[in-house]
Amino acid sequence: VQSKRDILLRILRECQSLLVGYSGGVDSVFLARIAVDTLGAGNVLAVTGRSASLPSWMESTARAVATDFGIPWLEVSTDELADPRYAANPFNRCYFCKSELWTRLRAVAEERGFRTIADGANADDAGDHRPGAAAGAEQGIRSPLLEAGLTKAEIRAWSRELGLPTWDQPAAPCLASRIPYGLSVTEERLRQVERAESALRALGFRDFRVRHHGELARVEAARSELPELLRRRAEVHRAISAAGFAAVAADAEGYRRGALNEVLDVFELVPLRMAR
Amino acid sequence: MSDPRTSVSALDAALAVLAEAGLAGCGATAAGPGGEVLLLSVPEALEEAITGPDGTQLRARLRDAGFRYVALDLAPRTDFS
Repeated sequence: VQSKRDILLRILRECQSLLVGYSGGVDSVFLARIAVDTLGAGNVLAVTGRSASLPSWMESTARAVATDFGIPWLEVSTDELADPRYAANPFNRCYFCKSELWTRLRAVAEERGFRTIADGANADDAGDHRPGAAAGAEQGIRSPLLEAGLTKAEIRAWSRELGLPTWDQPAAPCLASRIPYGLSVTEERLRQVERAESALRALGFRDFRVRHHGELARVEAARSELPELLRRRAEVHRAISAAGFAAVAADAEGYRRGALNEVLDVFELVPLRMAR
Repeated sequence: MSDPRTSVSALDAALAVLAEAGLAGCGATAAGPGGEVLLLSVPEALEEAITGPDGTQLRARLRDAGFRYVALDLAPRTDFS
């Protein structure tokens, strides 16, 4: 692990100045913090792309951590929903979203003189279905955590050492990931998902997803939380119905990462870079 | 996967799987825009048989009947008797 840490610091020093795509998640928060430590605050800018697909609690986290840890931070609006190719919700939806994000961030980087743009992809992301990575590759976006071979567990451990409040934050992909491929992504559906997930969080649940199936909300709760979810079914039903769902159900399998990707019988894995 | 609602056999097959597992008291419908969710109404005493570790094979057989997901309806329970 020490050698991975050394590799990361070397990569960051080579970058000289860095603009970080900063969602408020575990990885990008960690990367921004380490980049500030390594390059100095004057050479780092963390930029959050704000749109309806970003959960508002993540935006709040991004803002709070930037303030508390001295990370220069900027928020820019992105408009992926206006792209019909994205809104149609194809298997490669993330490509169109990331294309929009990186185009906006590239403009900021050029305007402010940042040499390199980076994302928070890590070594565990390497075999997953990630069409968004292709958009990053096209625009020369680097992935220092992945290049250093750092896994999510290692990033969490290092984040904890640094006192980052995100060290044990559950993984939180964008809200559009709760909508099955082929069902269009709309602002209304994203709002429904966000309201439902906020309500469940307010009930004390922590590791779950609310999947949008039109009139039906299908809750995938971590297996450790599933019995509690079933025990409090009336509260859960009330909370999620209030977000505009006619029916509410608990997935019998429980939460698993990328559950909506289970329909992808065959897909092309996007090659991701890793340093040797 | 075809739309299970276009095929009565998917739901029938799921009901047969439930009956075979001794869960004939469960209600079942296809839900979601493509009927991709098998929505079960389950008496509390039978939930563990479906969601617990021993239900792994049962869940797989229910999916094999023609559904992508198996889920328990959280609507207020009706009388199953």
